[in-house]
Parts: sequence; C-alpha cells; structure tokens
Amino acid sequence: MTVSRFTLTGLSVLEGAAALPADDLLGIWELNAPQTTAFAAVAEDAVATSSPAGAVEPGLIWRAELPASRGEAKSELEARLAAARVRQAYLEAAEKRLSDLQMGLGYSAQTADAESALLAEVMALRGSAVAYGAGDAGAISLLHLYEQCEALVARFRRLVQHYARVETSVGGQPVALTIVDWSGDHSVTWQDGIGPLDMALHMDSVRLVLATRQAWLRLISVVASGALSLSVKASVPGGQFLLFPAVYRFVRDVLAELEQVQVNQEAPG
Amino acid sequence: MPDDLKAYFEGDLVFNGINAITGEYGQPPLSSEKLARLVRGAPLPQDYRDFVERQRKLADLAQVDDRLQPVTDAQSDLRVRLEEARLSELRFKAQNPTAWPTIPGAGDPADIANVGWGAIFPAEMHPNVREEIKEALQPLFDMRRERAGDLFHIYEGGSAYRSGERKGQFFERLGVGPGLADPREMPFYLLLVGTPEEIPYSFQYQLDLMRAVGRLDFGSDIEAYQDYAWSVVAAESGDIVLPRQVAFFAPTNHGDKATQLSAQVLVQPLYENLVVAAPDFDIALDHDWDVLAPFMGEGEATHDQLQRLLGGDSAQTPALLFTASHGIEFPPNHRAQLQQQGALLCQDWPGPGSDVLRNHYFAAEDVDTSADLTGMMAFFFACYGAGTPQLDQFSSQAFKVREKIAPRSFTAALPQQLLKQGALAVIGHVERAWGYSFISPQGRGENQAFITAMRTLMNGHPIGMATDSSFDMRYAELSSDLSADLEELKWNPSYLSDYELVYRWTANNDARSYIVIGDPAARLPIAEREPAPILETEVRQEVPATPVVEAVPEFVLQPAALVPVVQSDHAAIGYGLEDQFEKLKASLKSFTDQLATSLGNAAEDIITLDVRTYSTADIAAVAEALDGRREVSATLRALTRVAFDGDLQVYVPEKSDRGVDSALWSIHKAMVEEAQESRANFLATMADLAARLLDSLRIGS
Amino acid sequence: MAESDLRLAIEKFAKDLAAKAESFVEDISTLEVRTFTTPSAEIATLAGGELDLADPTLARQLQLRAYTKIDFDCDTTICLPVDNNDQVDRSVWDMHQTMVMQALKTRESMLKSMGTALTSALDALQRVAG
Repeated sequence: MTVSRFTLTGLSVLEGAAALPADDLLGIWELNAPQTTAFAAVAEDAVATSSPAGAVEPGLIWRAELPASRGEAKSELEARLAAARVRQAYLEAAEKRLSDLQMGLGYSAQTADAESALLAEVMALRGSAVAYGAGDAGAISLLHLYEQCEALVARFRRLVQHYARVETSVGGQPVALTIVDWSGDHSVTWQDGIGPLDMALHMDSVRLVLATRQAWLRLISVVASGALSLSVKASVPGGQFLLFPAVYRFVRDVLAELEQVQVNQEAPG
Repeated sequence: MPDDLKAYFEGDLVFNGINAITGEYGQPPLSSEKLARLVRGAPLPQDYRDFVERQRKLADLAQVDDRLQPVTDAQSDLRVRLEEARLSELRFKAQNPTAWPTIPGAGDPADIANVGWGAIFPAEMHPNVREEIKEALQPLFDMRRERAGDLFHIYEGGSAYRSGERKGQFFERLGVGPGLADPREMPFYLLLVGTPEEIPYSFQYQLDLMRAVGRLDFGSDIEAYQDYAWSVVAAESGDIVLPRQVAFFAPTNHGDKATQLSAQVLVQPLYENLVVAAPDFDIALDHDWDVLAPFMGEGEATHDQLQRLLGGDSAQTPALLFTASHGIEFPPNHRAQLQQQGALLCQDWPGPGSDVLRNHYFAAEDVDTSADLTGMMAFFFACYGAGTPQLDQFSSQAFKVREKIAPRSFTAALPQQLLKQGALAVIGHVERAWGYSFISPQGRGENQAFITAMRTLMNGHPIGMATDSSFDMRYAELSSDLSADLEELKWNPSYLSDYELVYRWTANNDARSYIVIGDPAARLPIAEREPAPILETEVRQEVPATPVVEAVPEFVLQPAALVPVVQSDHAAIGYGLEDQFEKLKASLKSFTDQLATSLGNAAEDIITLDVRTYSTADIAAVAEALDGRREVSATLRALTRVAFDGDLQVYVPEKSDRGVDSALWSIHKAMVEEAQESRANFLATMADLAARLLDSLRIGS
Repeated sequence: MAESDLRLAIEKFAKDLAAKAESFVEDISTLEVRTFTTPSAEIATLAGGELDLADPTLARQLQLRAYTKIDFDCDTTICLPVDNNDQVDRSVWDMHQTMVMQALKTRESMLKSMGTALTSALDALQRVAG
C-alpha cells in the first residue's frame, strides 16, 4: 500500500530555512522533502533560478502523493482539509487571546502558559524588572527566535511572490497539475484518460493548498497586528518589529497548546 | 414482427447461459411442450432419460459429492408453506394501489429521511470480521445515519440474520409486521452484508418484495468495503458528477437464437424508448441523456469494446451501462467457477458448439486495473450475472431433484470487481436468465420492467426504487397469476397453451431473480435537475434580493494599558541581538515590499479571473516544461473568464466524441466555482492584511 | 522599497479596490454570460506562452453560441443556441445554463467579499488620512 505524502518544495534555498521546523506550522505539509513522485524530478535550486527567456519562473511546488486506494486517498485529503480548518480556528483563538491580553493583570512569572511567556518577553523588552532567569540562555533562545522569524518572513515573501503549482499523483501515477496565481487564476492540466474520482482528488489537493496559503497569510496577519497592538499597549516604541518574534512564539505556543488539548480529548480513556 | 416472435416459441427454446467447457447451452434447448411438462412437474419418461444423460455428461466434467439429491417430503412441505406465505404477500403487493410498498404517510421513498436505511449482518459472521467490515463501511453508515436519523438501524448481534431463518421468522423475532413496509419497524432500504451462504438468496428475494434490498459481499477484502463506502460518499457528496450518458452492449452470436432475441427484442426497443425523453405512458426523464446507439453484434459488441466501456477508456465509460448476453457457466467445482461464472460472453465467440476461449468472455480480471468506475451503475442481463445459488431451482421443479450446480452459493466476481473500482451498484441475475421473459406468447416485446428500471435510475432515484417499481412489481403480478394458473391447470389441462405457460413461468423466474449488488439507496451521481430553458427572448426573471454589504468588525487600537516607559527603539541591544534585530527588520521590509508588488499586480489582475482546463497525454512532460526544460504542449479544453462584476465568458469546444467533453466540463465547472470562492477569500484576506500592515507602518514610522 | 513605498502601494491597492467596488456596484446592474464554442474537440493546442483570445486565427474559430443578459429590473434577454435543424442545441444550452446559475450564485458571494474588502480598505485609507 502506498503511503500518502504532502510536500512543498522550493523553500529550502532560503537563507535561514534550517532554523525553521520542517513542517508548515499547520501540520499539513512536509517542507523540502526529497521527491518521490511520478512527476518530473525538480532540483531545489532549479526552482529558485529563473527559467530561460519567455518561460515563467517556477513557483512553489505543492505535491500530493496519494495512495492507489481512492478511498484512502480521499479520506487522507479530507483529514488534512479538516486539519487546515481546525488550524484556522486555532489561529482565530490565538488572535482572540492576544487581544484579550491584559498587561499586568493575572500575570505571574511562574505561570508557564503562553500568555505569561509573552508578557515576560514584553516586560523584558520594556526594561522591566522581570528577566528570563538565566540571562544567557534567554538571549540564545531569543537569537534563535529572531532567526526563525526571519526565515518565516522570507518564506512568506516567497509565498506572495510566486504562484502555486499543485501536483497530484495517485498510486504513483501523475493525475493533474494546477497553477494558481496570486489573484486566483486557475490553469489545470489533466492527464488524458483519468476518471472522475481522480479528478475529485486533485480538486481536493488544490483546495488544501489554497486553504494552507490562506492560513499562512492569516498567521502573518495575526502576528503582525498582534505585535503592533502589544507594542501600543506596552508602549514599546518600534515594538511592532521588536515584538514580532515574541508574538510569533506566542501564536506557535497557542497552536501547540490547543493541539495538545485536542489530542488529549481524542485519547482513549 | 409478431409472427417472427411467435416463431421463437414454436421451435426449440434456447436459453441464456453457455457452458465454458463444452461451448454448449448450459440448459439444452427444449421445445415449449417439453418445458411446459417440466414446469407442471409432469415429465415424460423420455424427459427423465434426457436429464440423466445430461447429468452423466456433467459428471464427467466435475466431481461433486451428492450432486443430486431427491427432494424429500419435508422439503416439499416446506416449499409449499413458503410458497403460500410468499403468495399472500405477492397478492397484497400486486393488488395494492400505492406505487411503493411503504405505508401511507411515510413520505417520498426516494429519501431515506422518510423511509430509513439499515444494514443486516449475518449472525454467522465472526465478530472480528464484522467489526472490521463495520469500521470500513463507517463513512457510508455515518452518511446514512445523518440523513435517516432514528430510521437508521444496524442489524447485528441479537438482531442479526440467523442461519436458515425465513423472512417471516426474522420479522417475527424482531417484531416487524408483514405487508407494506413501516420504516419505524424496519427501514425500507436494507443492505445485506455477507455472502449468500450467510444470508441466502431466497431470503433476499423475499425481503425485496416489500423493501429495497442490496447486497455487499467482498468476502474478507476489508479494503474493498472501505473503497466502496468512499465511492458512495464521494458520489453523494457531490464530488463526483458523471456525464449523463447511457450505453448498451448486446452481442448477437452467430446461429444463436438467445442473443439475437435479446438484442432485437430487448436492447434495441429499450434503446429506442430511452432516446425519447418523455414518451407517452412512461416515466419522463428529468434530464437530457446522451443515449448512445447500442454496441450490437459483429465488430461492435466485442470483448475489447466492453473493456473500454468498463473503464478501459474513461471517455467511453458511461454513467449507466446495460448489457444483454450469455453468462458463462462452469460445471460445479471447476476451478474457474467462483471467479468466472456469470462472466459476459461477447461477440468474439463464434457461436453454439464452438469452443469458448478465454478471450471470448469478459470476467472480473478483465477490468482494467487502473479503471476508475466511480459513480457508474450497470445492468447485466445474463445468466448468473449477479450470482449463483448452490442448488438449481429448475431441476427441483421439473424432476423433484435438487441439483447442486456450485459447491456453495456465491456472488459473481464481475459486479464485485466493478464495485471495488468505484461502481455504485449492479443489477444482475441470480440463477439462469430465461430470456423469454421479455416476449409475450402473443409475440409482443414485454420490456416495460426494463424501461421502468432504467428510467428510474436515469432520473437519479435510488437503485432499490428502480428494481422495486419494475421487476419486483412484475414478479408480484406474474407470480400471483402463475400459481393460480398452475392450480387451474391441474383440473383443466387446456386452460393455458404451452406457450403461455412457458412464458409465465420463465417470466416469473426472471423477474424474481434480479438483485442489486451494492447499496440499494445509491443513486447515479448526475447533475441536479436544471431549469428548463426559457424559450422567449424577453422574459421576466427573479434576480437575487438586493445584496447586503456585510461590515467586518473594525480593528480598534487598544489604548496603552500601562504608563508608557520610554525605551530605546533597540531594546534588544541589551541582549546582543542588534544584528538579528536588523536582519529581521530587513526581512519584514523585504516581505512588505514583495507584498506591495503583489498587491499592485493583484489590483491589475483582479479585473478578470481566468480558469483554463487543459488535457495532455503526458503530464510529467508538462511539469518538466514548466520548469523551463521544454515547451509546454497541452490542449486547451475549456476556458472561463469571469469579469470583476461577475459577467462570464465561456469557451468550450463542440462535443466531438463520446463524453470526453462532458466529463471535462463537469470538472471545469467545479474549478470555476472553486476559483471564484478562492478569489473572494483572497480579496478579503489581502484587504485585511493590507489594512493591518498599513496600521503597523503608520505607528512604526 | 522604503516604508512609504509600501504605504503608497497599499494605499493604491485600497483605492483601486474602492474604485473597483464602485464600478462593481454599477456593473452589477446587469449580468451577462456568453458561451463561445469551437467546432473541433479543443479550443487550441498550447505550445508555449499564453493563449491570446484576440488572436485573429483563434477568433475566427470561436462562435458565440449562447448569450444571457439579466438586467437589474429583472428583464432577461436570452439568445438560444440552435443546431442545423433549428432545434435548441441542448449540450451547449446545458453548459450555458449551468454557468448562468453559477454566475448568479457567485455574484452574491462576490458582493459579500467586496463588502468585507471594501470596509477594510476604506478603513485603512481613513486611518492613513487621519
């Protein structure tokens, strides 16, 4: 039985990409994984460089490699689409929690939740008395976070720079390829002779990519506006840049926390 | 024509079903007189001699213990009692004026919300296997439960079907009354899950009288159950929309009266009827259908052609396929029997007496492994096309002998294979198809049951309804008449001509033995009924009510909650992170630059939205070409340009061959819908993002 | 690009959106759907580059087969496709009809998202101005 793989290529050439986790923060796409699909093998660097004159520069390639069992493929795609919707809802929740954040209220340095960690960071940046504990460790962690954010922003830049190319293969056989440009133009190319179920699977792959793209934009929007809002509340001049990494970490922590709650709820017994 | 038809009854009658080993008819040709004698259960000594001779021949072909067993008195008694019970129900059904065998007030039987849906497991099935099958079918059960609500029921454990149980006993045990189906007692749509050994065909026939029944039997292939469940869910969730195309396949083997008859008297008139959308006295079709001229006879009804129709060429695979042919039969215990009995004999076979070669008939393993049959349905008029019972019913009737024709009852492999590859259901025949069921002794074609079944399916109704309104009703009527006829004949031998008796008997048997393989509530996933075209050039038409522009909650800046503490812009300096801070800032700027560029482009691009659908023989080559290695070569099949204000321009090629364009059209339409939705989301997200970033920059500067 | 460039870009985007929203409200008074066909099995074979619908060779092949216009006052003008026997060409008509339904449906959702987009864009513009 073939195993499903959902990969996104074209990001590994980015500077600092190594600092980022290999998933897409939404748990849906595997980034920069070696390619195994029946589609033409594309070297990572080939994606980044410009093509010969006249040809369009290739964008990010999203690949859904699905198992030969259509039922399994369908359920896999639906599970991921559902996951994308759930993550969108988590993002909304993170945004709500950010806006609910009341500086100085209910704050305790000992509290380990995401809000406390964020406030600690804000206080530190404001020069407040609260510190990270061991200063050096905090600095290293912050350094890492800055690197991550930088890579993340570069990733988003790439996302808005390019169209998305979605490739679907079922049981190792290529089925279809769709290019979606920024404003939503769709060009879909079908392999001759494929049946309606495979067509539906590819449609779902495209939906999944668009949902992911939407979620990423939402993520940056939440982080950017969250950083801005906090910088105003905490009166940190220029804080929307300074606080960006801290807010990013907060959002990531909230996503992980909600994910954990979900896992615990689903666990038997 | 009527005289020609009458002639069919006057010579020797030949039956559908060819023995794969001998190349001869499975049931040797009989005169009407002889068949009438056998039907009456009054054979002549010569008839016995013929029967014994045939048995001797068969014995050389297969070694089966106890192949022939006399029918005991107890069995005779049981049969009589069963017959009586069945008859009372049949009479009730035949006389009942309602169109459907559901209680008055149950509502539209096409909707399981009104009449319920259930699955019946056999008590004999190992609990672990049952649990695995249930898990595999869960998506289907969930979908049915959601719609049927309280009228959804799984019969398992104490309420499972118990081995040997007759319908009356089963109902009595569960407190279900006889007569019209009351969905509150037991759902109208019932899916039997298991082999015909676990839940016998006789039970299925009985249950089918007042309910819509189907069967799933993939043995221990759990994955097949799972794939099937997903196919039905995909079809009903709207993911699959098939072009409205129906095809016919009818071999006319040389020198073979049976197939010439089925082609000329069944398939051709059926085709001619279905071409007309709304003929008098028939169910009108809700949609336009592409009714393809039958693949009939020489050069048309070939093995290769059938393979193409069954997914070998997606462009030729119709939503609904009707075939009329011989079904292949094997001596019991032959190694190929379970896998190939009921396979469809094609035009490639030279005719009676010729050897049957493997490539003359189409069996399960001939279905292209990559064929995607999702959503399709098929109707096989062929002996054993849906399955084979262990015991032959005819010998029992004629010679009071139970003849074992298979080591056990089994479901035909071909329909199972189609279902494994996405087909939603197959209507087929269990036992021998007698062929004469569609000709009356007066020489008229009697195709009404077939027409009703096909038209019901083509209108997107559940397949269980298609068989109920056609073959089940016909069975009810014929069977009721036949038993009265047989009774009368005992006293008055000239009451019926041999032709008439033979006709009624074969027609009755035929009508009884059609079963549905698959979920009886499955329906063809064809496009919803569309509004009829408006023929005037100037008409009034409702447009949507004046739209309400919905405002989004405004992003309000929170006032500073704390007393401002003026700090350096570079608070990070204290941590030695100056470089990283600058890098991040640069990175964010670079991002916003790119965003600005993309926004600029988007503002231009947004004027139109293009959706293009191409097809290609080599998609990997297209992928390579896009990477700049070669020129792209693909064929543009459809283009839709959506203007900003919603005006549409659609570019499509004229339909040129069998359905390619309609299949592509369906998916193109779905893509357009998707693109429009994605465009709307894009607009909202970008505007929101732009507004937030603008705020951010305003405050940051 | 400096911050002011981004601001200009966003302002331009917001203004463009606002302008488009305005023309959208004007244009929405009529909805037109046109269906063109080519006699062959394909519209064109693409061999590199984009398809230009204005290309005279292609334009000659394309035929306007069905047209629907729905005015704001509900008047509807329909041009039906007919075949050589003056019968309505159902296959083309079916396709056309589904697209008209689709256009009506998406116009509504477009209105909603235009509302959302416009609110955000105008909001941002106001804040910039303020």
